[in-house]
Amino acid sequence: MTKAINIMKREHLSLNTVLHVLNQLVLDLEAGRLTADDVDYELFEKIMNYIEEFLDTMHHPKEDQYLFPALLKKTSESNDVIMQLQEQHQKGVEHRKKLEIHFQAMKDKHPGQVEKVIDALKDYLQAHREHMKLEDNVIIPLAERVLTPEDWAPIDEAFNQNEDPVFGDTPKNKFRKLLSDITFLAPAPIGLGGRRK
Amino acid sequence: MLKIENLTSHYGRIQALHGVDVEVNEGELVALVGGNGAGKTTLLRTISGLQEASGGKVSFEGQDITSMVAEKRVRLDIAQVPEGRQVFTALSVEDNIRLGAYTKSDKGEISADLEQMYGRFPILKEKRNLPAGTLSGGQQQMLAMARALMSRPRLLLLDEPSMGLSPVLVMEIFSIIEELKEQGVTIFLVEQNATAALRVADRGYVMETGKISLTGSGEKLLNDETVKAAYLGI
Repeated sequence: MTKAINIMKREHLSLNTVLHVLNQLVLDLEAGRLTADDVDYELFEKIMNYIEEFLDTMHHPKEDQYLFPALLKKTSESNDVIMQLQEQHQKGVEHRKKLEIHFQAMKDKHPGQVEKVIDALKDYLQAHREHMKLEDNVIIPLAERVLTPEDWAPIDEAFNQNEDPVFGDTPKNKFRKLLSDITFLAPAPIGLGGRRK
Repeated sequence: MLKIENLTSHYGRIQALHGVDVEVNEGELVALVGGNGAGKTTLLRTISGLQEASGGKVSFEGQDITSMVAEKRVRLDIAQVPEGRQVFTALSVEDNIRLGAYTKSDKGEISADLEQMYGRFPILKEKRNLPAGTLSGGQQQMLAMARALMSRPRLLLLDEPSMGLSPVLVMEIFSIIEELKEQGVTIFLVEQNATAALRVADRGYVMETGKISLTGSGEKLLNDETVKAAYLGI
């Protein structure tokens, strides 16, 4: 397994754990265990912050700039899937912003927003699941099959920057702290249930 | 740092360990993976002195500790986080943490270490006065780790720290383990979550029916077809 694939899989795993917390939020809102007043908006902001800074700013651009072009150069087998994934990367940012607007409206007690948040969250989670499934089941196996060690070198280097503590704003430590904050705030037993009312 | 040679251990007439050889070097994070009933916990308990060895040798920094009582091993800076947390449910969170420092006598040092634990595990500070039995599984796991760290271990034995926890908590536990390694703590980690354990480990051992069946770097074992099929669900 190349360094880049290893990092990509680890990053998908991190994202999945955060999405798991969001999924619990959907279940609690839907079942009435949580009302708009009980929602931990600080936790939601941390999750959105994580997704924006980690997924939309670091993870996806590395795929768009390094992995996908290398694959497109090597084979036409994945052209359609790559186009689809690139479109999803763009739409993911729009969906996140839409979700944030709905959450703000729910926080401001606008009528009917709980249902809108539930629907938007469900769509958002489903989109991520389908996106990762395509990458894990189609793109990564194809890349492992067709890319040579020379092709992988710049991809490995790019993804390694996500982990390297000496690169830029020490992203590894920054995201570790964000994930730790999310775990602290997420209600038990999903998280640690810190600073609960 | 830790050397285990031809170790055997029995529960009555049943032999649980069959000539196990394991080595953990200073500063390493070594994972021991394997299925249920493979003998992983027995091996860990034999290292910490909770389970008697019936043969072979356990050495720590060159000293033969095979017959040494558990308490003395803690004084050598070996600490164990047991499977299932095993916190003292009726005692407060803070008392549980303080108990981890029972081999220490410097009150100032103990107070400083306690504050350090609260810094590392802020949830324990929030719950410091509550009985440990009221904590959730994830909170209890943090408590069990804080308790072990209070003895300032140089060798930390972790038994299934992620067992029964949610994905985000598993991630947090492994992040803490990585941090401890970066701070120089030597770690011997027993896990059923083989993927997560081998990802963070420098080296790993695979155990089957009381024997070591495979060993290598974490990366090598992650890519090993037998390991993938048997333990990684790939």
